[in-house]
Amino acid sequence: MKEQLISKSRLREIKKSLDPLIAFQYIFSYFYLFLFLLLPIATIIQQAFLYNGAFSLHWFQKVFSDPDFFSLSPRGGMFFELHGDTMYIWGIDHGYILNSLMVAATVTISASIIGVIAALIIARYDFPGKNVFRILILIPMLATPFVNAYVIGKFFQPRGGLLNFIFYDVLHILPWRIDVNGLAGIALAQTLAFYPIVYLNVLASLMTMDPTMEEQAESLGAGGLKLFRTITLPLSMPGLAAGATIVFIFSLEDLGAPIGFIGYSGNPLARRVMSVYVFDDFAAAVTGAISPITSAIAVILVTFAVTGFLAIKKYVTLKTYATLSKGGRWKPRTRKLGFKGTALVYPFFILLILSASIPQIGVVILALTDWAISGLAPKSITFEYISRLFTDPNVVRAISNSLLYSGAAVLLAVILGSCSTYVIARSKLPGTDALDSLLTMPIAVPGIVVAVGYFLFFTGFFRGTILDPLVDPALLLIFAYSVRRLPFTARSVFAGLQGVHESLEEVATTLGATRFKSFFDIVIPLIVANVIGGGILTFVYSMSEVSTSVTLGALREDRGPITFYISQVIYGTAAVGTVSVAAALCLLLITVQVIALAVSNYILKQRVAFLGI
Amino acid sequence: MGDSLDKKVIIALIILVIIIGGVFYFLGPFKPAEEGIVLKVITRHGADIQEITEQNFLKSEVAKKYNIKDIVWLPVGPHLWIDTIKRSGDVDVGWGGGPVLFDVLLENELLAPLEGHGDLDAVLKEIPDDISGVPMKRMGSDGKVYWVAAAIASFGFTINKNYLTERGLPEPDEWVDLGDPVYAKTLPSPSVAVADATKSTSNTRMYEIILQKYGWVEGWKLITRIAANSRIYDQSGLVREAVVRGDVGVGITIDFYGYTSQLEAPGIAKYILPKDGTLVNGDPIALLVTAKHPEAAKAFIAWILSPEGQKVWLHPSINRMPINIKVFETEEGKKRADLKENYEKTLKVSTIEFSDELALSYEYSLMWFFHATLVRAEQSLKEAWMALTKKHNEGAISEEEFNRLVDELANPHKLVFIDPETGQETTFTQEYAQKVNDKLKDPTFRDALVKAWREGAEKRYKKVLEMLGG
Repeated sequence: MKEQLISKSRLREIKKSLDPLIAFQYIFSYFYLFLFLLLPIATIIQQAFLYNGAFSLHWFQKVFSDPDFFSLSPRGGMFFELHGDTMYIWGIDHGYILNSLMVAATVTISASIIGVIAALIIARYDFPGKNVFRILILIPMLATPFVNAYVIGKFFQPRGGLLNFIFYDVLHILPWRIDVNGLAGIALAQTLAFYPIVYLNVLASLMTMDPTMEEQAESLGAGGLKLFRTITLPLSMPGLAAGATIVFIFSLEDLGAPIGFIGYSGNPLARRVMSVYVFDDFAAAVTGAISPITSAIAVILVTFAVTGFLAIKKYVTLKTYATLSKGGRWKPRTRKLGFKGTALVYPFFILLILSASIPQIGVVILALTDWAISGLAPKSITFEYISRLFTDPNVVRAISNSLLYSGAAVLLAVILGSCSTYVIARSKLPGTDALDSLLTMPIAVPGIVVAVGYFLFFTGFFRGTILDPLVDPALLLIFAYSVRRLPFTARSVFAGLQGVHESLEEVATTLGATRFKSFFDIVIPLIVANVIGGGILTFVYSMSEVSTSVTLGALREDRGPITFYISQVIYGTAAVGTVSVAAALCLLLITVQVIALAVSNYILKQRVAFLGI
Repeated sequence: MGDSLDKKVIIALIILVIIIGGVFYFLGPFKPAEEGIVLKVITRHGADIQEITEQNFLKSEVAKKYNIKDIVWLPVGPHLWIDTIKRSGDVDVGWGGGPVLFDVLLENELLAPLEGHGDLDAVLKEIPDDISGVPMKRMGSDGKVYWVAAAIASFGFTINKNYLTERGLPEPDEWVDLGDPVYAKTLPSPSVAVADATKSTSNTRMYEIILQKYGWVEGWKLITRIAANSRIYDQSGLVREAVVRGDVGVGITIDFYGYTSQLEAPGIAKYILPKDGTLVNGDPIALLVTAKHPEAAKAFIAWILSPEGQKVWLHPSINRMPINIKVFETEEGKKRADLKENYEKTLKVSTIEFSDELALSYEYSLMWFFHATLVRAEQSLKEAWMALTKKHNEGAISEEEFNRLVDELANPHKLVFIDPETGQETTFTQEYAQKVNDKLKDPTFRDALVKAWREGAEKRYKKVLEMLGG
């Protein structure tokens, strides 16, 4: 007798769930995610594993056997090497793959240490000024693509940079000048940019932790380090693991820091990471063809990222995530810090915030003064660059492109997010777990991989149509944003749905309403705030999206968004003082982000725990 | 709860409306034009040139006469021009991008002859056929004009006097000076700046100049020494910025970047026309066979070449050399006496014998060989060069020994590698470069050849390092 794969009652359940609305939402969600996420990635995977018409590891063998990509012995670089009066700290080259991994590991560890310490202090101690620090510590989250590395480069410049001027020329504390660049520069820039992610995640864990655990341990005699080691740290592992893994992924895929350093100084080591390799090859896509080696590198990138993602999947998918937030906040166990404690904490935070905010402070100075050409310090204030935001045709076009793409992407993300989360929350259809993963997976797929996948897939199967990026990348950029930033909307909407009890819809059904009607009349109005909150986040992070914007966007300059324009300017194609215009654009992005995040926070309040991205 | 929710919704809706309003505000200028002709121009010129040109042209008599209401610009990368032109099927004019690009278009039968139009025929007579032996008009095999230069440009380098003085470095005045070991003094912080040939068409042009001036072997040896002395950027504009900022003492640049630097950093930055010869290029404008409005397009082209149209080059952030000298008689022209001076210097510059055909025949090979041996292998090249120049500058090795080692380091005929297709051992001769030039368009072959070149280069850089006992 054939075994029944699905029990009769299960079948009945499914049939009950299946009405036109759910069916449409289910099919639409999967269709969209297939077309704009899975199939493009599959195309890359296919090219990477194909050789002479058959499945083969040929390209991977080629990559791993080439020391330019993978070399256990050093191939060059300088790490604390003194030449003349300058100490060079660039990092050691071990090939593209190992370089990326080493940088990512360094960034993850450093960001985690900083994030954990900061989170512990904020979560467990009370001291004057704490709330100010709490906000200021998040400044690095304000995206300043490319210009951040430029500012750091300018800051660290051996001759004419502020750091060297202060510590070497004036104070004579350092015996030599410092030149931080290359892999070390990238790691520094990324650590300062990404530590808030770990901080926020660990903080969330600490805040939602059951305080009685620590209390009981204390009453049994455990204190200080032992308490931290045996109770606090393990319980905050979910937050730490999630934050650290996300930082690892972000570091691997980041283009902003490497391009910033390459643009600023032409440093040979800053080029030698995987994300730049893929980016460079993309730029050389002469006849619309991408080399299989690039696809292989993209596959390697995705593999590392997705592996990390799967490891923390438990902590980031919608269902667990919503529970995390529902756990709510216990009354936090905080202790007042004495004088000694405060004396230690203040320098830590001040130093951290100042150094982490160098990019943002630098952006403001670059945008509002002549610092770009005045040398060591700015000499005069000017609003010329800000005015270019409204008068320079290049800039205006980039801004309107960004607004258009981000706006359209939000619309799509909201529709897709609402449909798919409704299916997950309300229906008992098979495949909802997979859908759940698919909705959050975009966090794990490096943007540059999405770009390559879109290029391969859409030039291959949609050549000559409006979806062909060589004809016009605008549409693809919109879809790319909507998919890459989908997790924000999905999360918010799902959390909102959690707050709408099923019984509300059931009552409507018993009164004769179709599911369709109850969805639009009951559910939507109750989750509007979540939709808007999530939509705002999606909008903000679409405006500052980098990887697909600078690759697909580069295929037609007049279709490029703000981040593309900034990357071009850091590459100096346009005329005078344009780094300052790029900084003005970053200032615009920062302003939009601050407003949007404040509004979104206000609307969402505590309804959605903030995973920091 | 309901009240606060309403308040929040209202705030959010207000913000949404602001955003949408902003979008429409910004999209305003992009509303489709009313009936009348819309010219479509594919171009490599930046948006500043597009904007000024559009403003000036649309209010001109010519535009009114031909009922031209708008210009749509297609700023597309050079390698995508042919694809774009064929696919769009309705592009009228091509403008800017260098003579090589337009010669390729001509080869692909995408250009239409510039004739049979009163204004155009008249202004063409004012445009010189050539400058210093370099063609400013391209004739087809039928003797008709297919493209004409709308601006001219020379190639040279821009120096930062302060940087050079502070470090006791000489001011270069010839291409060959840039490869001098004295500039290696500041390594690992290079004092020269160049751009990657695979990323900059203007820099590629300059490497072509060096190759044709000094010959294949000596040319590559010089290019290698220059790259070894240099920071290698991904865009020509960055080279200029590095010079202006004082990060380097000299950067190779096209002339208008040089002139712009002089305005940005007066008294500090200076553009130098190399004494050992340079090239004066005409930057073309042409009519495309796909033009839907050929008469209006020809009128536009005639206007661009007229003193009125040429004024765009005089703008203080553009600083290009015009093709029509009568522009200096206009009001704006009289204000740019500095550009007129530069223009006259350019006409007198010593140009080298240059063959566009030869340059085209190995252009891809040049680009990727540069990338493979000088950018991908940059670290080992600089390591060897630092050791070599140190010994030379200290006097620890003789001039002959130095030259011998430079030959080992950089002679293309001594770079041994295996051709990925034939499996045969070969060296990088000019013939080989011409043979593989087109094949390099295939990414798989290119990857393999770049790897072979890179490995060959790294091997010999290490060999030189060993020979120095380093």
